[in-house]
Amino acid sequence: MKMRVRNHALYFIGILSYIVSLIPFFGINVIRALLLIPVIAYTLPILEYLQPKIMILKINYKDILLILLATMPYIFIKINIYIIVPMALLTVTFMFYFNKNTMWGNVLGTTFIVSLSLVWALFESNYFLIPDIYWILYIFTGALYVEYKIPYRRLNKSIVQASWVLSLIILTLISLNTPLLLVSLIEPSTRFLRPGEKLKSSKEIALLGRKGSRRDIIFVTLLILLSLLSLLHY
Amino acid sequence: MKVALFLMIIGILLLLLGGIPAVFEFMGIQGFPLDPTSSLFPSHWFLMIYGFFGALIGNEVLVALSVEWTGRTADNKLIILFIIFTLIGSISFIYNQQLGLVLILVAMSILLYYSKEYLGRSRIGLNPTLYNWLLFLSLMVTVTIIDVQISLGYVIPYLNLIFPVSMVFAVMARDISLVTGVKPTKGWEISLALVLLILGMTFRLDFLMILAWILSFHTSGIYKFKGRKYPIIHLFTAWLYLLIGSIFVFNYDIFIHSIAVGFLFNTVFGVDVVLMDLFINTFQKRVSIKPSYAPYFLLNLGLLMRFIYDLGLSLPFFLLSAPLQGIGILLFFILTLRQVIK
Repeated sequence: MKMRVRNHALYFIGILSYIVSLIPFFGINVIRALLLIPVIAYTLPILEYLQPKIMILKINYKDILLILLATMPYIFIKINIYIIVPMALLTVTFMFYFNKNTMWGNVLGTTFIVSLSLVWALFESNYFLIPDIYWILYIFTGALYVEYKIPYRRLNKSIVQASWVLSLIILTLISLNTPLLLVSLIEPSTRFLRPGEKLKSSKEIALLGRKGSRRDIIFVTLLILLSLLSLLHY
Repeated sequence: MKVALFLMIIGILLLLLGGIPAVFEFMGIQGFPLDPTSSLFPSHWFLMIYGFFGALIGNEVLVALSVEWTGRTADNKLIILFIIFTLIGSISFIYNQQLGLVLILVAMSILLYYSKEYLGRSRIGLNPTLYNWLLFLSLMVTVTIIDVQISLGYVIPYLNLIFPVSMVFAVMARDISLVTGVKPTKGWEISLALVLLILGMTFRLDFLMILAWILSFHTSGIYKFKGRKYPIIHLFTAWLYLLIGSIFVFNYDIFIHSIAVGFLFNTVFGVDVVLMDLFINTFQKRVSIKPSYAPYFLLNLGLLMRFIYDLGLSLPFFLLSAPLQGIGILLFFILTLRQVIK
């Protein structure tokens, strides 16, 4: 089988999600963290392969086999309430694709992928899950932001803003004891609260993507630094 | 042109040098275990007042306001001399307070010397107005304050705040009407306010400061909320902090920082956008600065948390206070400079 990467963004956020799941890098099960690398290395291509098929709801037996293969490692996870998040996201994604609502399907599908960072963190016996929640809500609103910016999509600006305001409230509440983490939200706030005009043409989407990835990296870097500082304090 | 920009950048570097230690210090008081810059903290106030505000005000006196009044900037050599003395004065204060004071005295004297330009006729033949005299007076008082400290042999940090505060008053005497569009009101009111404020701050007398506040607030006309929204919101907030500082004279941290951070930085944020326009005009490059409210929001949120903390309510959440103030201030200069140097 010849591998051709089409969906760079998927690999990008997949790898960043793995990094986020490792925060704060100490007190986690290192062996399991290392075991995850090959698991993720085949999970991401499987996701990339399946995504267009799920979008048009054409799945055959081979695909189901692949899904089983991808979910297998997680049998070894300790059951935790947080598992509900990716499962719910996956279900809702299917529902949207089923109803031919590509836009929301994409947004929630993207969020599903990054929500795996919760699962991965739990797999590594990492119970400092706040950065993962930051990352998930950040990507969710970020995906909405991109959808809003795309010229041919119809998404109201206020949905992006409302989503981020809600995220800010949730994140502030969970960060009352680790307030330094909130500093990472400043840059995204300036983007998501004032999303600006829609793009003029589809040609600008690539540029938006590149800028976005740079900022994602900055966000994750800040998340790492601030998590370490926060934990130093407690 | 290059020299003026250089002065700005030196000012921002001194802001970092003076500001970062204070952020860590305040977080340290709140129980944060990391304080890598603690040795710099004793010089915090000096670096902020004479380093950062010195550079900022030097820029106004030698460049921006000068172009307006006399039609030209100060001689490049004079500006460079000012930069050198401000820079080495600030740095040497870290090692030797007396030496730092003496060198800064020279820097301030350069400004005082140059302020003679403001006492002559303007390029279009106007006689000096109130603001020209207040500017001169402000520098006189500043030089006196530095002198007193040199001869005393020790420093009284809060006294030095009179330098930037009186300069803001002087510039306000003229700029406020540019911002609010309200006609310049009676000159005696703002002059009396300035004198009362200087006395009130010197002896930490709340009733004098409150009186000064009432006079200045009345004469400024900010409460009429006319003119551009962005500067008005900032100035209104700034004056609120001046009132808070006047009332809480007994609490040292609130007294100092409602003036040093709340009053001064809100004014800088609000009015510098106007002044930046002038600054850019100097270079015949017309850019209208697009102001952002993000710095305002961050700075004031951080400052409010700080005051609540000062008053005795301690929450883990308030650890955010100092970083937010720092980031707010830094963000303002990053956003502004990015637009200027395009």
